[in-house]
Amino acid sequence: MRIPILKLHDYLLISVQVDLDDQTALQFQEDVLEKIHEEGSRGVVIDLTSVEMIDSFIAKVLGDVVDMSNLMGARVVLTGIQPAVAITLIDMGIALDEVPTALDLEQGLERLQLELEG
Amino acid sequence: MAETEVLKQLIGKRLLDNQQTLAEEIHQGFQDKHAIRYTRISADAVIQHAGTLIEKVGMELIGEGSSTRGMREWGRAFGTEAASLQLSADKAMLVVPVLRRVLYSRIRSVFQEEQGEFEAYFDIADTVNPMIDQAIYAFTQAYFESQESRFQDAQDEILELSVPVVPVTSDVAILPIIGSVDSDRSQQLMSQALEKSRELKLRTLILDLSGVHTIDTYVAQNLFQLNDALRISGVQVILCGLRPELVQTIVHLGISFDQLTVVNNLPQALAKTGLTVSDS
Repeated sequence: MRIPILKLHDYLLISVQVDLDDQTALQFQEDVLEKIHEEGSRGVVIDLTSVEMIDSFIAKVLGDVVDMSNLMGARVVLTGIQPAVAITLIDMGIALDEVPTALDLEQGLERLQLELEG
Repeated sequence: MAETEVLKQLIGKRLLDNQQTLAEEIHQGFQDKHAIRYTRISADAVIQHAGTLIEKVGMELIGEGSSTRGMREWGRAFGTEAASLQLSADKAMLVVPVLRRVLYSRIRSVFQEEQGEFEAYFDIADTVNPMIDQAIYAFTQAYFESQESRFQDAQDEILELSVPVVPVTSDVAILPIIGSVDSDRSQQLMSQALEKSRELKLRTLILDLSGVHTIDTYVAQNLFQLNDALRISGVQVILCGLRPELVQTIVHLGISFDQLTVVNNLPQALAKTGLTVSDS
């Protein structure tokens, strides 16, 4: 099963509704990059509100998605990170100090706009 | 019973006297047996080559030849010519079995006439066969050396042509990189890009990597070096068009592109220099 990616002007919106397994996560990574490439998107909001927990592998994949998207010229904002997920990400040393985060989708988009103008 | 030396002299002389006839016979056999049609080399040229070969064998047999050196010269001359005319090597070499047949038919007739001994036959063969082998070896060597050098020239040409710096305005240019970039090529890219940036007095060079599918750490290193070198010369470098698979490789290799300016595509890169592309 693939995670749907929605396009909104220059941005991509992704709402992860399920707990990710390895294969879904990797597929997700590929899909995001492809979409950025196709649409020339400059920003991506990944909403993780429905994700209750992630393991180290998924955390790494997420971190990589951020790096890879940056390499393609797209800024990423993560939104709706749940406490358990936050702890795993910190534990894994995923450098979230460079990754903008926000509370929800709305704030995420605002943040993106700021990022892209800055 | 005639002795080896006498036989050799007779055979040698027979070959030299009938050089032209034998050459034509070879040419004929070449055509008949293998249905070779000459599109790239003339029949006369083939006959001449065959004739020279007969002459060398004949001279060797009467004791006045230059032995293997002579055959090697023949092989090299014919090989280089064949390569430059782009003759097919395997077809060209089919002349050898025909030559062997013609030579040995003459050897056989002399033996019959003079009632030569069995031992003598082996002696003759020991003289003739190595010569033919040398000729084949020299031909092949020369042919393939020729091919190699032409191939190398073509490769060099490709490298030369593969750094197209396209000026967009008086101070912005685009360098589209297409195809696989190996260490040789990335060196070329670097020096050519620097050279042309200076020539064109660029303020910005946009490297479009849409045509690149894989990258290794050496090439990435070169990109950083190019960036630094250009920066020092006062040229801004913008990377664009990185493909998903390229980006995955880069992250998996742990290379950080933080020091470089990267955007998604060409229009965005141009926008960064103040140019806009409108769809109208």
